[in-house]
Amino acid sequence: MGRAAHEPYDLAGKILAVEAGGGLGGLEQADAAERACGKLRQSLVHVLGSDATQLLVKYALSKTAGEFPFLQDVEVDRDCRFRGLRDKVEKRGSGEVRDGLVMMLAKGIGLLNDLIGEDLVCLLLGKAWPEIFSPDTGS
Amino acid sequence: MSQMRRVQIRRLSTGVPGLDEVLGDGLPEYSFNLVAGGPGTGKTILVHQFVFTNASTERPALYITVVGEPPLKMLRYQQQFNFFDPRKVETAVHFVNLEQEVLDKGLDEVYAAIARMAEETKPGIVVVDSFRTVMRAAKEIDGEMTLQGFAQRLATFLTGWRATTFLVGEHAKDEVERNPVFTVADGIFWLYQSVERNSVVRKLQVMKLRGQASVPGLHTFRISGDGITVFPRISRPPGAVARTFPCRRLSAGVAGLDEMMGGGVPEGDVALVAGPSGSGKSLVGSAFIAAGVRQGERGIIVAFEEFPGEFTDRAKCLGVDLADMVARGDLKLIYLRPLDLSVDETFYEIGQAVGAMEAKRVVIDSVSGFELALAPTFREEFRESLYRLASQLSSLGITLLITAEIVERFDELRFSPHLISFLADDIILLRYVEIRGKLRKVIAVIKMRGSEHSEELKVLSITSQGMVVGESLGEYEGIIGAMPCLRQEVRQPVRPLLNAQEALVFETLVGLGQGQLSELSLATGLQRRPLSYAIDRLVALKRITRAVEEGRTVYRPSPRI
Repeated sequence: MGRAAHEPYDLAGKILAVEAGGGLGGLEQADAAERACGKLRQSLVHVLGSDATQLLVKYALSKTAGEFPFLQDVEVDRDCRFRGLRDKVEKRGSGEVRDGLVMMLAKGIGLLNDLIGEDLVCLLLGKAWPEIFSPDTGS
Repeated sequence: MSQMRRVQIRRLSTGVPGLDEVLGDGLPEYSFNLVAGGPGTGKTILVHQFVFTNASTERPALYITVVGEPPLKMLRYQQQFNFFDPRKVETAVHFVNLEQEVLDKGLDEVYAAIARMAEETKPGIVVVDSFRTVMRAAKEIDGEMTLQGFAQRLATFLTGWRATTFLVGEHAKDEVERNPVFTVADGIFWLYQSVERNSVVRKLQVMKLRGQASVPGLHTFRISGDGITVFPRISRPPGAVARTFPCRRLSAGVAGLDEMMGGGVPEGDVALVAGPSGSGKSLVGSAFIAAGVRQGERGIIVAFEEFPGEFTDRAKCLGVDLADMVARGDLKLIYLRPLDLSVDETFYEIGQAVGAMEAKRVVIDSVSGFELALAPTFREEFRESLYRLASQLSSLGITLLITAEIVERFDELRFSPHLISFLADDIILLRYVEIRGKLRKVIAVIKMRGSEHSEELKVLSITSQGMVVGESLGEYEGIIGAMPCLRQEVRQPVRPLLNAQEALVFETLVGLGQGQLSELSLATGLQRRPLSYAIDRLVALKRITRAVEEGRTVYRPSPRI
């Protein structure tokens, strides 16, 4: 597994793209991010527990909100669904929304990497997005 | 009636070095085990080591974390150990967190959740960590299922699933009597940790193991990057053989010492070399190893006082090239100086080296350093432990040489400050004595169990070519008291009033019966003038007679003498 392929930001970009399925609008990106967090939760919750998984997404959101203010006041529920995100992205450019959401996902992946190591993170995320982590994709 | 066929219980290797031996050849498959102990004793490490050794896609492990140690942290820290294989996570080892909500609903729900997880993953190994948390929850909730019922159902269910199970928990010793889980468990492993002065000592006890004989007692263990290593209490090891007598004699490697020992060190003996600092004990040990290597016998030196480099350098200066032996694989130099050792750990190290090298000779240098390297708690039982260690090595046919430093007290003969001379088959004593104004080393063989040996004290010289046993100090007495002096009969002439030359002439004449001046000169080696003086005085003292017979002067001892 090449380290470069799993740089959190690149990985987050790939995940968001997969979940967006080609949709480029802000709302489509927001929905894609929510689906990504849902899948992330599904992969992590049985190992880390609900609390830790929710905290991870909250941390990512809070770390990104400084740079991307549209993420401020967005809340995360226990199932890692966003409350208020769709309203916030409506008046934002799709490029900014995409960048903010990729950054948020990258922060979450980065934290996970720091805590349990990249190998384990790849194993866990690989279950959710096999298309990204399969050897055929070069990851 | 045909013979009954008993069920064969397969045993799983735990992956914990030393533990299989303690358990009696591994852990019974499908057993229901409890791993107990205080915080930080290594319970989770022990179980992880077992899990990562045994889990595979065919025999997956289900690791259920229950609040106690947050799974995030557990994964973070456990992967620091070398046994942790990230590739096995989620393929062979499935970590599952049991949520607080489940615990809050009581034991029925906990049982149902575990059963559901087991049915999903079909595990061959199940771990519940920490089970203590489950029990605590059970106490707080008045559920329908009692703890005993829960434990029994869980044990039956998981055994039915052919799972080897570990319940991990912080338990107090007094729970053993009243906690039903201890009754249900097939195996109970208790881990301890104690601190004494600056040393931490970890111990493991197999309190219960159904269906097989485990080694009783407390076994020390150490946690390193490889995980846990258990050092079984020394017992008679596999491969132990009874000694046969008479034994083969092994050369001690010191010129002249073999003769003093009646032919060398008997194979399988424990030889103690005692002496003050700098008297050559370590060199005797090195020479003993070198002699073995010359005969194709590999050796081990366990050094407690010097770093390996210092040890080999010093030996080389004195004619023994240990570094070369190490390089050729004929010698292993084990350096142990951590100050929290157990005797069992020391033996484990030696045992591993003996097994790997098929060594026949072992030197422990020195017993004083060994004692210092032990954690304080083990010093109390030092003699007993050393006895076990010596017995172990001896039973493997290994000849053990132990050096012991003694502080010289010249009013008594001591062989060791540790009162360990009882365990030595052979004792060699080195001492300093002053002879004619020079400090000399002397060597004596004090004891050879069941064998004759020299009773002499001999000069020991250390040269750049090695050690050499020199002349006997038979003319001296008082050597043990460090005040040697010539014995009376050596110091004083045999004949009172005679000086040495006169005594020599007189004794020669007694031997010859009679003689002329020329014959006496030849026999005594004395020149004519001193010989004449001696003879004149002997005649004057009437010790000898002078007679002229046929023109020749003949001397004879006086008839009255």
